[in-house]
Amino acid sequence: MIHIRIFRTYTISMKRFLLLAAAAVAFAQQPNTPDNYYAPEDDARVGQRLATQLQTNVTAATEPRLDQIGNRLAAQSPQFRYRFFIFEGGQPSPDTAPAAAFPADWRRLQLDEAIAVAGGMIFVPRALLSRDDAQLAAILAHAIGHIALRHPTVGMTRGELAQVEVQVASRAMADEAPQRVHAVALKRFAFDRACETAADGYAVKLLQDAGLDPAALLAYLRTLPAPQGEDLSVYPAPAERIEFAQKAIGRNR
Amino acid sequence: MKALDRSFRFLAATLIVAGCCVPALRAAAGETELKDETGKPIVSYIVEAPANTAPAGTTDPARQVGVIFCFQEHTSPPGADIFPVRESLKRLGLSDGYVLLAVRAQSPRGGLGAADFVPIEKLLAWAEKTYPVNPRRIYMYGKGAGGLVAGEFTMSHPDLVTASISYSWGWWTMPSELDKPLDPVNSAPEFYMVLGMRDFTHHITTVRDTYERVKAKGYHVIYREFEELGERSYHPTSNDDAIGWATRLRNKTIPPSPEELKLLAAFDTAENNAKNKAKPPAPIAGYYPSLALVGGAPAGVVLEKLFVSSDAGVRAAAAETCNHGIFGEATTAALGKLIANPSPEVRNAALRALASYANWRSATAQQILIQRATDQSLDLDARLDAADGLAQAARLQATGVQQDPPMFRALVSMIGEKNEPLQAVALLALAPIRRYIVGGADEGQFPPEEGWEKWLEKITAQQAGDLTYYSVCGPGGSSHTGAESVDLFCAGGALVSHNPAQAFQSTLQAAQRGYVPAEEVVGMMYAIGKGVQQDYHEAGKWFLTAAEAGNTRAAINYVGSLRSGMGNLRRDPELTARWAKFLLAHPEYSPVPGR
Repeated sequence: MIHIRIFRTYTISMKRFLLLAAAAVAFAQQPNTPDNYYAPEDDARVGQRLATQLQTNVTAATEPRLDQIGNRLAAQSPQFRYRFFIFEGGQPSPDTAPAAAFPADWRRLQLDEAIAVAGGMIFVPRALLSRDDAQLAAILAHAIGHIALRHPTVGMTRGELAQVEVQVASRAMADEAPQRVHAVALKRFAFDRACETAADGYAVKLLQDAGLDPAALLAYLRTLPAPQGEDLSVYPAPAERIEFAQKAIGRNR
Repeated sequence: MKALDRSFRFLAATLIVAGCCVPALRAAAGETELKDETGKPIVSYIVEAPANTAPAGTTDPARQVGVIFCFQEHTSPPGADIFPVRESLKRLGLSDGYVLLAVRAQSPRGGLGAADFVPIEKLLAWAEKTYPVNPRRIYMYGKGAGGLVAGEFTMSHPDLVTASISYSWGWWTMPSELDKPLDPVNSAPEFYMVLGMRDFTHHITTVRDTYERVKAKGYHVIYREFEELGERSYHPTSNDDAIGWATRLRNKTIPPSPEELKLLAAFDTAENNAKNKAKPPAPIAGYYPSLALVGGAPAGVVLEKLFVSSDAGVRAAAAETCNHGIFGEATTAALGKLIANPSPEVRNAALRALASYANWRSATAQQILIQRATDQSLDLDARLDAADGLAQAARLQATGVQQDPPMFRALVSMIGEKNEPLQAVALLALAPIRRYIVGGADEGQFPPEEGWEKWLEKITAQQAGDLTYYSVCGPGGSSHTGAESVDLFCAGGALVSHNPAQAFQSTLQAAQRGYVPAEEVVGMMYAIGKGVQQDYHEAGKWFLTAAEAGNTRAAINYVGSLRSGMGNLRRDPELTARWAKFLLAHPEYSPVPGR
């Protein structure tokens, strides 16, 4: 915002030049070495805000079975304090802060994943309780992966950078602007897919560290539906995830 | 000598015809003064009522009349635009059913405007006391300043006026949606706008500008442009289309009268007594005039039951009734099921009605025709029938503005058909868009310059307008760019039809974060009062801000805002300076010299 105010004092061409320069900085962010503007202790604060909003719209409760499995995994990932909740009903309100949770489409009803909130809270849709203990452990390990790898705050950081990018992209001719903004969205989709795979990798390691069978993750991934629209999906194809997880299991043996 | 004799006879005949007409026109021009209880004049008006009109207070719907206000341009005397309406009603066989009213402007300069609204309300109240007026059948027709009044009055009086037809000019004041969203299906009036390409340049820009805003507001609007038309409203092609459409509509906010409900109940009783083999009232001239008369969604509900009658005669009469009235999208969808009916009478009646509805921009009717015309699994006759309907529906759009690109996409796809008759229908329907070179080495018929696909993309983008910006949004109102401004913008877009105030706030926040499409859309929301009090000064500010960032649509809208004179934009020194600076870089938006 401050940038824009400064730029408005320049001529249009100068303004464009500076915005492009700012965008170039944003483009230069490598997906595998992402910057995080948030300190690790900020994650819990950001997450708490989202969780509070979330809990006003959905009914969340603790569940002994979840705690038992979750705490066994949490013991192997000490950076954050994990808490596990079952939720059902309700729909998160549209004004709930957007990026402080994973998976990226956590607002969707009938999620096949747990919602991992920055700083350690994990919300599991009640339907997933029908899975056996091994699969449930895989689901929680994957969610812990998102939090431990700090995907929510990395995502928020990237969102702030994307803000500059879309500012530039939206300064196109009226008919071209949507296409350019789409290009920014495509990069975000790719980032979200990369996060899913990374969380799978983390889950394999975590399951093994906790003395559980990482093959449960494969069993769980096999139950996932294929996402529609490859470039416009926040999930990699399950086949891709399975292949990656298999390799991770092999590597860690 | 013989030739002279003939020309004399011609002259005499002309004089006789003129002699008959002139007194009639003069008589029509007689103005009367409407006065209040104290004798103070309210408005000077002209009225034309059908002969043998039933007395005021008559409740029999069949003997009631509708009212069409005919508002003239500021340069014309009152009553000037009664003529096109009267002639059209004659051609449509509806002359007996309507009282025509014209008013003299309050302004001594002759231009109708907002100052005429109260006198018009009072004149309507007078008409309702004088004639057996059916309040669900009040319409407005206007040209120029009269078109402004027709549009503006109708928008601000949805409980009084059913539909508005305007020629050659636009309007700016629109009702602000602060808490209740506009409901184009269940309560809002409908609009028909006509522009002639031989009109004055500033009329062309103003009407197009108004169309964009009426469309953005969400009203059902039929917008026609005609190459051959100038600054006139006597244009039988569009007059008949518009008046035929309007007179089929009924006010959505006024429930049917007890007598109208009785007409509907006659069919319900028959339905309930199906076991006793009681039949609905017999059709007259092949349809149910009483259902067409009641019209609207209430009669539509009755028709939907008759569509599924086991008696093919009843089905055919019910389908034929749709050629005499408009009953809403639900009834149109139900009618669509009759298009494959085993009875050819039922099929044909349904097809003709669907073609008319599609012509008047019923999305449901268009979809039904498109689906059937392009369904390769159907037999040729069925496809040809639907294609003919589609061609009829696309007729006035093909020569003017392609408001409904999906119809054209379907027609274009049919050019590639192996089936010659289908191909011929499509080629004929698209003839106004194709290029013809006759004679010479390049002789032939060609697609438009840019090719069909590019042309389709162009008309689609033109019609989508600001909506193209929302193509970056996924379902559920999130953009997935990860950027807050786009998410706010998308959330606003998702809310606009059910919570305009929240939609406005969300879009405003996106604009404040410098997202240019949001700046343009917020300008439009201020201009049309979408979720916020209508405010042309704020609209102008945001349009200019977006224009400075390179948004062409916003620059055009700023020109329109300046021209409207609303919001005192020209008196704002900051905006004036910014606009002057903008014009230096973009001289193409400069006003045409001499105006």
